[in-house]
Amino acid sequence: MRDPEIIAAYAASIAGRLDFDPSLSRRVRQEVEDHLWESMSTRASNGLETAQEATARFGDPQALAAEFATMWLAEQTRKLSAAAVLLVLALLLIMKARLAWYGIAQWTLNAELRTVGLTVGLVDIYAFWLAVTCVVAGWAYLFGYRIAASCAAQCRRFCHVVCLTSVSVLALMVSVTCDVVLTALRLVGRDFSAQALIPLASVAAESALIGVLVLKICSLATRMPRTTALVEPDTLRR
Amino acid sequence: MLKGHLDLIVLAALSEGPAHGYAVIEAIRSRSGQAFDLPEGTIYPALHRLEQAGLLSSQWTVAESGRRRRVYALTRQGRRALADQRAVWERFSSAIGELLGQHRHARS
Repeated sequence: MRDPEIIAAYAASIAGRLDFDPSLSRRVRQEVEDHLWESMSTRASNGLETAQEATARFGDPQALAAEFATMWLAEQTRKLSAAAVLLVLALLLIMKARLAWYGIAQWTLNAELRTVGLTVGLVDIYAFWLAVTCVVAGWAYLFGYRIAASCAAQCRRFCHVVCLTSVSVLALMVSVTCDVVLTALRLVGRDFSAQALIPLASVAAESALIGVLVLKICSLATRMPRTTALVEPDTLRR
Repeated sequence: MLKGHLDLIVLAALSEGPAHGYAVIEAIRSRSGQAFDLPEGTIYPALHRLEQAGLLSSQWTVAESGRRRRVYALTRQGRRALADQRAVWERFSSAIGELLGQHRHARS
């Protein structure tokens, strides 16, 4: 193996372990290659041994990749938690705006549908507050924490936040489904007009926002095995 | 022990101006009188972490060799953090100095 191949193989061995985030992987590969070439250029000889020494001085690829993975997990945990808070706030705003619009437009429920409406409304409220509780719990869990010392600890923290966020997303799905039912109940017996587009657009926006968070959770869940692979199995169980 | 102070060391190494990873390692080596000879790779997770925390900014440049190079610089927040950590370190170092000095006086 020639020295450029040693450097490229070493950089690839770190970058390959970070392929759960292609942009991080590319960046690390370029930085490692630049570092090793710079290191080689300052040595008297540029042979095979110098390249091997340079890679040895750089450190263990597995340990370095685990450190990058720890930071990646910390960043994703924070982002996921912040996204959940923003989602809850956005849904609250949309729900309040829709209720205000119902008041202005005087779109009340028919007397015979009122009992159903009240029951669905109660489920809506409890589901929404369950979501708020989970999101606040996730935020409080992270509040004040620095990046965990090990990848295993960060993995556990990430899993806890993903669980809390998933429960809050499920609760929000129930809440939005109730909103769809309540909107449908208000539309029953009315002629379709442009006015009806306002509540329909609002529930569509709620569904779309939840969909974005669901996609984010799924994307993280698919990349999770690559990051946990960087941690020794016994370390993760501890 | 060195790892516990890595952030302060990296911030201090960048206090004289923007630098890429290899230059940061060299600055740490030379300014510590070769006392701090870290495994070179350890500097990069630290640089990324400090950038995530908003203490450093970075951008790609092209080196004379034509290779792409990531150059890091202290942000305003980074300068403040360095000043704070330096003050804490000086207090700690002075307290330890006093303590060891007193101990020496007590023995003599």
